[in-house]
Amino acid sequence: MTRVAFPMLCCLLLALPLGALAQEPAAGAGAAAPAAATPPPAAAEQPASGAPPAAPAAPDAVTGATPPGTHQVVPQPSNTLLMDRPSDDGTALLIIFNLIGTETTRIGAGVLLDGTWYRCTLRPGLLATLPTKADLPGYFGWRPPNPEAKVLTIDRYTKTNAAGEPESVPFEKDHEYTVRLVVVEGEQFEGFELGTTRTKEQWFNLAGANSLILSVLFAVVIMSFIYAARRNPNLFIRRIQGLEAVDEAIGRATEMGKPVLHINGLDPLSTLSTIAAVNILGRIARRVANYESDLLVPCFDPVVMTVSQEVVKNAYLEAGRPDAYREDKIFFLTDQQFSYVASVCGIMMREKPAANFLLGYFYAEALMLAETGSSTGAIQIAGTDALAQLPFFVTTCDYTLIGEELYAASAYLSREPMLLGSLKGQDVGKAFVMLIIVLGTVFSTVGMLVAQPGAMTGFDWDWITHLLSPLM
Amino acid sequence: MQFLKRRLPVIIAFCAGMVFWVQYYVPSQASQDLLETFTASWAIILFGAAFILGVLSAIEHHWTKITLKKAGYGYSLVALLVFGTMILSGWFPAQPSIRLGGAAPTLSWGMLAATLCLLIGIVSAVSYLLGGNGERRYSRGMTALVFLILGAVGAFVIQPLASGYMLLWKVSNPAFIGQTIKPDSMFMWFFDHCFVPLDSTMFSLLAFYIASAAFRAFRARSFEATALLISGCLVMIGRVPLGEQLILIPKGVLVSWYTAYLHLVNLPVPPDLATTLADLNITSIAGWILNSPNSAAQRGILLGVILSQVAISLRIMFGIERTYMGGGE
Repeated sequence: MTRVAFPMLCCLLLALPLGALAQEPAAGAGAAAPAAATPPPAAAEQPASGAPPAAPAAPDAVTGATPPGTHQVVPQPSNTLLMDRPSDDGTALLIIFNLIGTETTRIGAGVLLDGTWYRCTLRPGLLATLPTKADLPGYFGWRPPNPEAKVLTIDRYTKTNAAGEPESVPFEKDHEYTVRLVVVEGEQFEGFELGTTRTKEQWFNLAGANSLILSVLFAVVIMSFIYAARRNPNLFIRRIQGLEAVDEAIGRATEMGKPVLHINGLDPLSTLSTIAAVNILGRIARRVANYESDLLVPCFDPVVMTVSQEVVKNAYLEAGRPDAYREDKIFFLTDQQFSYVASVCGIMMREKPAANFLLGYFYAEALMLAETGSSTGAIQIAGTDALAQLPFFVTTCDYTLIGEELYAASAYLSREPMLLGSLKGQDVGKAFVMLIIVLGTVFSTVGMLVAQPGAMTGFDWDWITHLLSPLM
Repeated sequence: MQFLKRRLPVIIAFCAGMVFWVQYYVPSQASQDLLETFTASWAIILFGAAFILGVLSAIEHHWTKITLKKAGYGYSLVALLVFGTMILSGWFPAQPSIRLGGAAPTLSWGMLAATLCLLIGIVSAVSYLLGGNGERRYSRGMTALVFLILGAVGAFVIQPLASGYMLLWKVSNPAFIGQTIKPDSMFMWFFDHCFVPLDSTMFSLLAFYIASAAFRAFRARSFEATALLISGCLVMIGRVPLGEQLILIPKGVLVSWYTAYLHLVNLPVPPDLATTLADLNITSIAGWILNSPNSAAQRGILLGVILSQVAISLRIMFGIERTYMGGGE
């Protein structure tokens, strides 16, 4: 009996302190930072109050209040900071924090308003998917301190409305908010109060400062060339084949007794390429009026139609042929893409225009229009800045104005010194951009080469890239 | 008059240009509201007003073709018939179910269509009365007649009939009235079963146009055309599963070549070289063509376009380019 009892007693005595050791850390942790027992799958989306005691996770996920006696497994954030979002309309706050979590760690937030905690309207964000300070140079610059810190943007909270339904309420400008960050790890979560801050409305977007400076600089260059062209009107502009062929195309149409077809693209007048196309239409219409030929302008947009009618009318007037102008030749067809294509292709096949001008912004219909025009044997001059459609035009049209040539066409055809001056200014801008690209490439490459351990540091070799990169 | 025609548009263009340029850099609420007001209100009102002119123009275009019996006038006849049918179908029920009780909707799509017809009819009638040349005046008169009849039938016959029916049976959702176009309405039936298939048919024709255009472009008559042919074929094959299977250089060969090169230049061979390199197949070549030379060319064009857009904006803002206003000089 003794032989059995003694070892059992010894085992029991040894087991007691081990058990105590095993329990101590859990009890200590629970007292220091208690966490809730059963958080929901998306803790940040739970209502702020009113949940039954059986599921205490819902309110606690927002308020951060945690029942006592639970285990501490939630990773702790450090370097937390609550701040107003810079360069905005004063309706958002940023929470910045460092946190080493797992792949499943999720982040939420709550705001305290009139003594009640409300959850912020967020998608159940995984910690891993949150941007860091380094990802947001528009807010923190290119080389911010603590670049690995995570950034959570909050701009709405969810509130129950009078009808008892959840309603997403945006933050107000110039309003103080007390905010709590909620970290959810598996079945556990914990809230960390970050303090109070005020949303501030900004009147200048600092992140756009580089583009503002460059655009002002570019505008000054162009304007100076425009005014320089007044003094010296003999500016050299390189020949653009497609525009040199305009007269030839209209002349051919006149000789054949066939109309000239002009299409302004499918975009509305708010698009610059459509404005450029309408400008070219004015120049073409004047030549058509001079040659006493016929002009057809089927339109996709009623606003473009109205403006085109006015432009053509004035072109005929300036050419001294107001009697030849016919308003019904500039007409609206439809604002449905493929219905428009069917209609224009029908016009091409029936009227057999001798010259087709396809200028402006085009989509999938570009090739259908150009191929049909090509099959009728018309001279086709196309121009677009739609990169995806350029190959189709190059393939099927006689001449193609690529990108910037479309915008230069009006100035080129008019031969007005002031308009040509702007083209020269544009060229200077392009030369500047080319120089910057070359310099940026060199600096970036050197930066990569010297970014070896022990290599020279303290100089931002990539500064040109940073200068010209979009910040937001 | 000269001020109104020449100076005022330039002043408006300059002010609007400056305001929206500055607006881009101002993130405040007032700035956002300004943009919202312009895009959500002014632009829509402008478009709505212009759309009436557009519809009138389209009708006049087709009507003239029919009256003059120009080539293909039959299509114009069909276009006008379909146009009228679609307007009429908008008056028919969303769902011809009858619910008892409740009040009638105050504004239905049918009423809206009837109002639009009446408006077009009135504008055409005014245009007819103001005169013009004989042929166009006649077409405007006919347009006015057709639309006034359509509008009158909608507003003064169908709607009261429907309302009477509604009052008689005390129903709130009678035949001819619907607040919105419902999925099972006649309008949507026409849209789903006529317009959508026809639209898709037109779109599907694109494949044949691409084939014929590609045939023309790929005829290897010059160095550029040959380069286009080869790169086009590589990209086409590389974008289908076959491209991954067509291995040009196996990974083992690449590893041995690269190792030999590193030995030649006295550089250490990375331990993970075998895992970082992969087979050189058609897909990887197609990816390189798209991501390197193609992207470089596209960005070059894009840079030029952006600079040109700034230049044309300045020309318009400062009144140097005035062609779009209907006057060059």
